[in-house]
Parts: sequence; C-alpha cells; structure tokens
Amino acid sequence: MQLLGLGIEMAALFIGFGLLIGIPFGFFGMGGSFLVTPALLVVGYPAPVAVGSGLAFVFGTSVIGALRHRDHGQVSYPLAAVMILGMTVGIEVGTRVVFLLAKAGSADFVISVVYVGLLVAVGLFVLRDARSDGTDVGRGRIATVVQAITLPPMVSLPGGATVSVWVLLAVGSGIGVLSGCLGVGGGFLLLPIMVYGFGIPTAIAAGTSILQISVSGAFGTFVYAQSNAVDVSVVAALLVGSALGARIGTSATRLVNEADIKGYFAGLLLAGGIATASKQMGAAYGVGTLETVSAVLLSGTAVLVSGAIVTASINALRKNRELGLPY
Amino acid sequence: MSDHDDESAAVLWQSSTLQIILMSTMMMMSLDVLFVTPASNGPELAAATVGFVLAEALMLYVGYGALARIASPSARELLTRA
Repeated sequence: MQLLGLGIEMAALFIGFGLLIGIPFGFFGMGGSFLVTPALLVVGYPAPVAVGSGLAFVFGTSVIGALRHRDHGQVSYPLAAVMILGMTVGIEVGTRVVFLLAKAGSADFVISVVYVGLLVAVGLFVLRDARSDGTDVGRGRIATVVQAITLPPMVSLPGGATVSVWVLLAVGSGIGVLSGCLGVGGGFLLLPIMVYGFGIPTAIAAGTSILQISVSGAFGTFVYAQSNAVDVSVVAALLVGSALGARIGTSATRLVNEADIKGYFAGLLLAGGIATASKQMGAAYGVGTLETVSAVLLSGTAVLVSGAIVTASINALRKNRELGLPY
Repeated sequence: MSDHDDESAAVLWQSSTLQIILMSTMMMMSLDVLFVTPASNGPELAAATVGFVLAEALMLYVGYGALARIASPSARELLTRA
C-alpha cells in the first residue's frame, strides 16, 4: 500500500519525524530544517536529493510560520526584501558548489563535515546562552561593530538601529551560501544576527527571518528541482507532520518558559552533529553499528526534546487549572 | 464534567484529527497528479514542485487551523483531567 507516494512504513516514519521536528521549530522559531538533511543522509538519500528535499521542507514549513507571524504584525518587509536579495545570490552560489562537489564525488563527505561543524558550534552557542543569564557583554559589542559601518545607503530598522544596506546584503549572501550548500533555512543564524547584531526585537526578528526563509526556500527548491533533486513524496509526508508539530510548539510558547527547555535544544543540535559524524564514519569504515547509532541518536533526541516541551506544557496547563487561571 | 463527556471529547478529537489527516492525504495525492506528474523537464518540473509544496503548506495551514479551533478546547480538557 502506498501513502503520499511512499510505502506505508516510510510515510509513517517521515510524518512522525516531521511531527518531532515541528514541535521544537514551533517552540524555538528555528531549527526545523537543521535535522532534515542529516536525517535524509542517514536514511541513505544522495547528498543533492537530501539537500534539495531539505530546502523544499524548509520552504513549506516557513510559509506556514510566516503566515502566523504576519497575522501578529511581526514582519519587517524592507529588511526582508534587502536580505532576500543577498540570500538569492548566495543560494545560487551554494547550489553550484554542491553540484561541483557531487561531480567530484565528495559531496556527501564535505556536506557532512560542514554539518557536523555547524551543529556542534551552534549547539555549544545555545548551551552557553542557556547557562548565562542573558546579560552577555559580547552581544552589545557585536551590535556596536555592525552599526559602526556607515557605508550608504542606510536602512532604519525596527528597534531604532540604522544599518548599511551593504551589511544586510553581505549577511544575506553568506547565509544564502549555507542554505544552498546544506539545505537549511538559516534561521539558526539569522535570528541571533538580527537580535544581537541589528538590535531588532526578538518577535519581529523571528517573523522577518521566517519570511526570508520562505522566499529563499522557494528559490532553493526551484533550483534543486530543476535537476530533479527534490523528493516530493518525502517532503509531503514531512510537512503533514511538521505543520501539526509547529502548531503544538507555538501553543506551548504561551505556557512554557523557553529558557527551561533551551538546554534540551542544545542537546538536540549536538546529537545531530554526533549522529552525522557517526553515519559518515560508519560508511567510510564499513561499520554498520555506527550507522544504527546515528539513526537512534537522531530520533532519540528529537523524541526527548519534543517530549520535554509537551510534558512541560501539560504540567503548566494542569497548574493553571489548579490555580483557576485561564488554560 | 463526567467521564462520558471526557470520552465524547476524546472521540470527537480523534475523529476530527483522522478526518483532517485523511483529507490532507487525499488532497496531496490529487495535487501530486495535478502539479508534479505532468511536468517532465527542468523549469516546468521545478515550478510544479514549488507550486505543490506551496499548495500543501497553505492547505495544512488552513486544515490544521480548523482542527485547532474544533479540537483545542476538548484536547485541553482531556489533558488537564487525565
């Protein structure tokens, strides 16, 4: 029996995995796509298809997210327009790099290594952020450096800062290259850059970054689909799960303090890095156990983080009910 | 609220969820046939893929929104009582 063009077991697996990814995405506003490409690599899809399908998944998920943020007036359109321009150029460059690497036969290895590096780096950053009290002096320093570049034309941003258009284009291009190479939306980089570098309020930064990601995701999907490197069945199944998960995650933000769960999210990113490295080593040295470890680690931590968010939400609902508060 | 009400709420929630998922699946299959299957080469296939993903995302946004409106109160009631 076929469901969404996949065998019933594979369809159920991808819908379930989408659900597990959607909950943290809805809750943290980032990280939804970061595990899809490694997961597809772990399952055995070739690197260009894993990246292309990852981008198509990012596109679908971020369209849903952008619609929700638009309803709340949390989008800065001028900022999104300039950065989308930079990201579009970057994605084109990143895509060419992937296909060049694929021709040379080293795409899987290079993409996996870059993934491991990024997942570990961002995981450690989030872990550090989770352990600090939010008064990091370094953040202010970054904003000062970025806003000191006064090459015209300048753009006024929500939050009061004025930033050079060239800075926005450069940042957009850099994130676009990563998107094109790795099949990620870039929210895990865009969000901190907007908040700490441009001084934009978090809610507007999240809404604007999701809008940018949806446009750049559409472009990335188009570029990869031209080479038939998007598995529509996998994307469709993942979206069915992630759209529901994202709703659950978004609702949980009204009940649970993000700081209480941030440590789990850092663990999810670090586990993603270890899983990708484990899979690559297993394939290189022919050790099947390492590939199994990789799959178990990836799905296990996703279950753990989603479970932590859902459990904390249910506990908060019960507490509100006991206290006679609206729930 | 009685046990019977709890049970009814659970049944309502489960059947609504099932209906949305079944409808989504059937719509996905139709969209696949409409958008992706007829397109066979580069740009056409790419545009069809983007259209398919966009259509699915919009449909899920609307579908799950409707599901949330119908099932949220019952689900919350069930979760806090369980």
